[in-house]
Amino acid sequence: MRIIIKGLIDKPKLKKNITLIFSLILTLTFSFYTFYYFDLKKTENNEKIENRTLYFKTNASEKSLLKGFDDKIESQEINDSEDYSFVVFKTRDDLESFSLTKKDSLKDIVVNVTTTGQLENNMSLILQIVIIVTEILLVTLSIIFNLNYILNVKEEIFLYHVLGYKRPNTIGIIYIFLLFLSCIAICTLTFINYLICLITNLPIFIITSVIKANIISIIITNILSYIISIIYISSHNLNSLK
Amino acid sequence: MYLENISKIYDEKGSNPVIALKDITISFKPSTMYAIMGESGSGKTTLLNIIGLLDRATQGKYLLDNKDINDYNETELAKIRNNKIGFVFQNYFLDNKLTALENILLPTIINNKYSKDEYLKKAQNLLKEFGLSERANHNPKQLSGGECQRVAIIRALINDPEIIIADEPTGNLDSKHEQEIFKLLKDISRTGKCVIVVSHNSNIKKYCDEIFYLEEGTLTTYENNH
Ligand SMILES: Nc1ncnc2c1ncn2[C@@H]1O[C@H](COP(=O)(O)OP(=O)(O)OP(=O)(O)O)[C@@H](O)[C@H]1O
Ligand SMILES: [Mg+2]
Repeated sequence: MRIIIKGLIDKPKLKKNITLIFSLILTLTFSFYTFYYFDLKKTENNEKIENRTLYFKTNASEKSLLKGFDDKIESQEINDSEDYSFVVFKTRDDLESFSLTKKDSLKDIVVNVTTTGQLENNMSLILQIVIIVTEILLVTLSIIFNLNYILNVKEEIFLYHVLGYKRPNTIGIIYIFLLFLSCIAICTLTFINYLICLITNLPIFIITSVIKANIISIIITNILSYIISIIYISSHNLNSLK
Repeated sequence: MYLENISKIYDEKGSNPVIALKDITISFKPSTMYAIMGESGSGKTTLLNIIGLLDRATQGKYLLDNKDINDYNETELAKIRNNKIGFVFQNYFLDNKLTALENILLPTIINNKYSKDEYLKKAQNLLKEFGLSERANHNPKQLSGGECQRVAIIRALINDPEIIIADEPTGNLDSKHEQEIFKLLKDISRTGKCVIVVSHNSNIKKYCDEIFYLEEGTLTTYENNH
């Protein structure tokens, strides 16, 4: 039994694959961490009063400009004696949607509006891309590994068949054992990830849901490869059976 | 071993059926070395697969130890393969992840003719006999073609089969190693086993007792070396 299992597991390859998947999961965790960090900072920034305030030159038309945005305004000060007036919006998003819709009329009269960190916006966009790419890579690689495994194991299954092994029970049991092994490996990785989440105090639910999705995909591909190899084993020569 | 009117048609119900074997009647005896020769595509491998119980004939009767193999199910056939038939292939069919010794022990795991220790001892004796004792713990990748084929032959012998089937055993070897393998197979046949070798190579003739020629799925000529 030990020999059969040794024969079915390609240790160097397995090691390589696990390292690759592990480093991808680490990248994912790291990206999530920074993404979350930037998001937090952005929200924090947007809550600051100066980032929600629009200053503009006092002008007769401003009252009509603000029409329709009443429920989005926290406070306003329109003062004819001062050089400028200002409006404080409830959220940064309200301010931005206001400036966008009234872009043309505001062009000449806006004095000052604080721009939020463009850099942070870019960063979170990049991070989102990184996360999506790693995610796709992770799923694709796990599928490739499994397919590769089936193709390799196919030849060995033929060898076992020649040597007088029953099919599909014997090989099936071995394959389930291998599936179990790979599940253990994945679970260990997930657990490490979970520990990282705990230590870094991140919103665990985001990361774990991603990891869950990964595990499910890996398990599904594993089960698929099992089914395929069973079909392969049982179809072997069966076409000539009467 | 007796095969009567064996025919094999691949893809029988499909669009283009291939008739690989037509009405082959042939019998094999112990302590004899047979050669099956013929051009590529003449059905040699197909015939060996049927003899080796890897495949079933479309038509015909195959008696093994006076029993019709059509009466056996797949599990029983697997058991017979494990117990009574040893296989040798052109590409050795060794598992690169296992050592030579482990490869040899692979068929013994599901056989309890002998105990584990006895099998180990037997494998070591055979390795010694074949001049490979130094190589027991090497991977097939580290062995030469001739050494690989010798390991494969030991694996075919480990369960004391009555029949040894070799499909182009020297196809990947140079002529020196080829002679060596043919000689080995001949010696094996002298220990009471029935050895059936498929080869393109006419050098095999002088090692064999009986030679069959296949041509497009039919048995054409038969030579007896005695
Ligand atoms: N699985 C298969 N399905 C359909 N046709 C097959 C199959 N296997 C073999 N054949 C056909 O059966 C015929 C005999 O094939 P076989 O492999 O027995 O030839 P061979 O004598 O062993 O040839 P070679 O010397 O090249 O190994 C060939 O025409 C081949 O195309
Ligand atoms: Mg062939």
